[in-house]
Formats: sequence, C-alpha cells, structure tokens
Amino acid sequence: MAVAVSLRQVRKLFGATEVIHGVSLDIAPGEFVVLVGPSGCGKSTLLRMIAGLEDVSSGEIRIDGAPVNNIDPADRDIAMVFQSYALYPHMTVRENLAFGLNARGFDAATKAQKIASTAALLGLEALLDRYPRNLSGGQQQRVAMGRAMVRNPRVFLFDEPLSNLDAKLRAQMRVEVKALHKRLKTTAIYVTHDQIEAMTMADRIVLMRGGHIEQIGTPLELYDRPASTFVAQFIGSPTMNMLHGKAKLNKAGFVLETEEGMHFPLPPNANVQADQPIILGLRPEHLSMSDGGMPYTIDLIEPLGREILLYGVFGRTPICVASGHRLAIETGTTVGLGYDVRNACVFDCVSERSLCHGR
Amino acid sequence: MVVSGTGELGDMMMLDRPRRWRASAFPYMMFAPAFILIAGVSFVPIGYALVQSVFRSSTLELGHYVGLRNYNDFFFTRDGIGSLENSLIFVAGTVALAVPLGVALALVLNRPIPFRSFFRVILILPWLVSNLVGALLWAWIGNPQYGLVPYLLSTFGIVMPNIITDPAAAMTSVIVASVWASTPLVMVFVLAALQSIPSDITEAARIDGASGWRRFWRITLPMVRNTTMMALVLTSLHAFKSVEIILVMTGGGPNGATETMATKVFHEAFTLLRIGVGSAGAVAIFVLNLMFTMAFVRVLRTEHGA
Repeated sequence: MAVAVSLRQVRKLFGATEVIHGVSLDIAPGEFVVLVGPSGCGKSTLLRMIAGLEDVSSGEIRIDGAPVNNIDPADRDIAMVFQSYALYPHMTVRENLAFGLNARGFDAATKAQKIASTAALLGLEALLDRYPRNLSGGQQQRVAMGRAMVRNPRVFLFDEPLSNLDAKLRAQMRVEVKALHKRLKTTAIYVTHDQIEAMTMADRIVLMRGGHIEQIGTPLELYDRPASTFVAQFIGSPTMNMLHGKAKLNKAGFVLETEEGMHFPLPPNANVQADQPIILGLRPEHLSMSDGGMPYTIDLIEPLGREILLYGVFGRTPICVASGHRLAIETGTTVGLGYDVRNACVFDCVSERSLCHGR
Repeated sequence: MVVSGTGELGDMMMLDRPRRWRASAFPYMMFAPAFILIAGVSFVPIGYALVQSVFRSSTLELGHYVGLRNYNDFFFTRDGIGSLENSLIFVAGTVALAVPLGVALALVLNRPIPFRSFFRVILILPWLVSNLVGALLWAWIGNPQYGLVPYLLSTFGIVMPNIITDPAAAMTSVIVASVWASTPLVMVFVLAALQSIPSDITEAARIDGASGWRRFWRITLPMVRNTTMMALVLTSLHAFKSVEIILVMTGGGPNGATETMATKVFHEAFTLLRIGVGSAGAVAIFVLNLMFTMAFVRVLRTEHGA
C-alpha cells in the first residue's frame, strides 16, 4: 500500500512527562483520517508533530516516504487550518491567500490564477479585498481553508477547525469540507474532540486516549465493533449502555448475571469463561419492547422528533433506549425490553477490552 | 389617540424622572473626584500659564497686558529659534535611537533566552530611576576629567570631544542620556504587543513557508506597528518637554548649543524671572505637542478605517 504519512513509534516528552507513547500509524494517499479523543489525549500534539511545530522526542515521521523529523514546517509541503483560523489580521483576504505563494516565489500570473480559482471554489470572490475583522466566523473559516488549499499541498492538517462555529454552521461546514476533500483528493488529517465530526467525515478514525491509540478503523467499525469500553462509550450518542456482572453458563449458553440476579443472554461468539467478571454493552437503538423481555421502568421520555429516547433502569443500572417509533407510552410504565444478541458487545471487566463483537 | 400626562402612565413617568436623573448622574459623580484633582493640578496651571503668557509679569503676580509680545520675545530674543531647532534635534535624536533600540530589546526579550526575567528587570531600571539621577550618572560617565567613557576611549588612543565645551559632543551626550532613559518605555510597550501576538499566527506563517526574516517583516512588525507608533509619540512628547537631563548635564550650554525650548522656558521663568515669556514658551510647547498628538491620532484612525 502506498503511504502518504507514516508514523513509527512516535513519542513526545514535555520535560519528564511523556504525552505521546509510541504511536504508529500509516495514512494512505488521499485518505481522510480523523484523530479523535477527549481533551488531553495527545491528538493535537500529534498533529503539531506531523506539522513540524513540535519536535519528535523519538520515533520517525515520514511524508511521501521521506523522513521529516528534522525538516522545517515550511519545507514539509503541508498546510494547516487552525482552530482560531490564524488569519493575518493586517492583510486582506487576497493577501492572506497570497502569503504562502509569495513565500514560495510564484510569479504574479500564477499567483493571481491560483487565488482566483481558490476563491471561486470557496465562494470568496466578493471578500477578497476585505480584512479578516470584517468577516463572519464562517467566512474567516473559509479563508483559512482557502489559505491552506491555494498552495495545493501534499497533506492538509486540520486542528479542530469547526469548533468556533455555531452548531448549524458547523454541520454545514462539515459537509463542505468533506465535499472539498472528495474533489481535491488530498491526504487530510483532521483533529476533533467531536465524535459526530469524526463519524461523519472520516474515511478512518484514530481514537486516542492518554497518548495511546485506542482503536483505528472506519467509523462503522468503531461503532459496531469497539475494541474497548472506552471506544464503545466515546463513539455514539446516546452512549452505549453498560451492564456489569459475571458470565454464567446455562442451558442456552453463556449469560450475564447481574448483582440483582437478572440474566442477559450473551452472543454465541463471546470468548468468556464461567464466573468471569464482564460487561455487556448494548446500544440504545438495539433495545426494543418485547413481551417476554426484561422488566424496564421508564423514568423519563425525550421525544426528539425523529426518535424517542427512554431513560429508565434494569435493576440498578441506568439504561437508555432509542426508538424510531412514536410510542404511546408514559413515564412510570413498566415494559418488557429485549435485544438481538448478535448486536451485543462483551468486554472484560478488568482490561475493559472486547471479548467479542456483535455482527 | 391622545396620551395625556395625567394618566397612570404619565404618573409613572413623572415618578421615574428623578430616578433616571440619578442613574445618569451616577457615572459623573463617580469620576468627579478624579476629574477635580486632575483639573486642579493640570488644567488650572495650563489655564493660568495661558493667561500669564499675555501679561508682562516678573513674579506669580500678573503685570500689565502685553498681547503676544511674550511669544515674540520667547522666539525672537536670546536665540529662541535656535532653541526650537535644538528641541527638534534632541527629540529626533532621542526617537531615532530609542525606538529601534527598544524594539530590538523587546524582540530579544521575547525569545526564550536564559535569565530572561533578570534582563527584563535590569533593562527596565533606567525608566524607574529619576531623570535627575540618570542625568547625574551620565554627566559623571562622560566627564572629560574623570569620566568612564573618555577614560576607556583614551586607552584605545581615542580622544573624546569634551561634552562641556564642544557643542556637538554636548548635544550627543544629552541625546545618549535621553535615549538611555526613554528606551525602556518603548521596550515595555513593544514587548507587551509582541506577547499579544497569538502563536497560531506565527505558526501559520511558518507553515506557509515564510523564513524567519520574512515572518519578522511581514507578520511581527506590522502587528506591533501601532504600539510602536504609540511609544514613538510618547517618547517624542516626553523628550520635547524634558528639562532635567539637559539642565544637569550641560545647563543648556555650551553657548546655548543644547538649549531646547523646554530649558529655555526654565531659564526665562526661573533664572531671568521673565515669567510671562516663560509661560509663552510653555504654552507653545503645549500647543506643538497637542498638534503632534492630534496628527498621530488622525493617522491611526485613518489606518483603522481602512
């Protein structure tokens, strides 16, 4: 496989504190990879190391096969979009777009042509002679994208570029960024803490936690086959329901026995042993009303229009159910709840790693 | 529909009036003490100087009205035009050296160099020391008989011109002392401006392929330009009305070579006791400074409107 960006055992230390612990990752040409994780997981640091804005303490970063550890950011042929947009405030939009071209010595005609085509692509033609302070947040974001695109770099780096936009504009820009990537087919590495951005934009998601990679995969792989309870709970909203208990073998196969003595069937491929402490993971949309199901008392109903969210408990474990049907149901009602074991996830209680996958 | 002032609404409005007055008067009441204090120590003397400048008085008592004669006497007797020229040379020399030096020091101190805090404190000291003390120090350093600089130069076989008898050396020495006293202000202003430049912007420029030199010219300098201009204006205004350094080091000599408008005001008013003429000079300095400041504000406003 051709590799655009390759990380080999990359570590980063700030003083004595190691914040990136030997990360390895290969990114294919044209791929859109999203680094996602909670605050402080090291995703932005890793991106800045790829950009050359942070030194690599050990390990190796290669871009198009060439090691870049000791190459200045200017010579890596990358472009970066910052969360703050980092537009040059004393320059017009045109001058902002031209800055990188000037630094690389393009002639006037080429510059004008590149700026015109980038402005046309992003709808910036009418804004070219304005200063950043006279632009809205969305327009500034577009200029920041333009400044990255105008040079036609080998790799795009995005550091939470949509975080400063309101929810509606963020959703719109998400679609636009993805559409632009489809058109330009430039390798892109995108950092976000927002799992919805990760799910909707990524070809592959790299989920990070505490300076380690927790799981790499397509959005649906992470959603359907989470490698750990951390991934299971980070990806998906509302989050996956987690039932704690021990594995017990009965006539039909292994079940989870909760402290209250409730029994939940496990998938047949669950790699468990009798009495092993385990966690059963069930996505809210995989639970449904069934006559012979577990008794479930509804405490709260959230009608969202497209679906209804029910909040209640199995014994003492809080459980959320998402239903696509407009149920005629009231709080305080007790219903039977069932699930398809093929969709269930099982995790080891100690290591929190997956013991099987649904589907 | 006719709304009368006697209905319920009208009554409420009448009741509200004193309350509204109190609300709008409150901010003025709050800054009144400061305003009275500032008016007392600066506006009243300025006003009094303005009045004195058109009276012939030898003490703080007003004499008889003389119109603009004092202004004529200030500029056209005892080499008044020469003092204006000296003021311009002194201000231009101070600004031309203090501003680039202050910017350079700010740039160095903005980098992660060892003992940065120590250097910041040391370099700001001249600003904290009284101008009088600074002037005494420089007078000693440059003294032709026992000064440090003439001595050091003599060890290399260089004879330094006498700062007490040589006109050019005298002007140079007061400018050097003024630069020494003015540079920290520029440095502090520019350092604050440098620290307010978001690191994202310089990082974006690095990724955009700009060399260190290009980043400095195209990003850093334009972003601290307004602050530097502000420091330049403050330094100019201060140098224009500065008295202590020149009085202590050269007394305006030799033969008026370092007599600026400000020292001439001092000499007219307190040596020759021509208070009216001194006041006229003081008013002239005030008006020139005011014009300079207004021109600067206009330039800044035009740029912000761009």
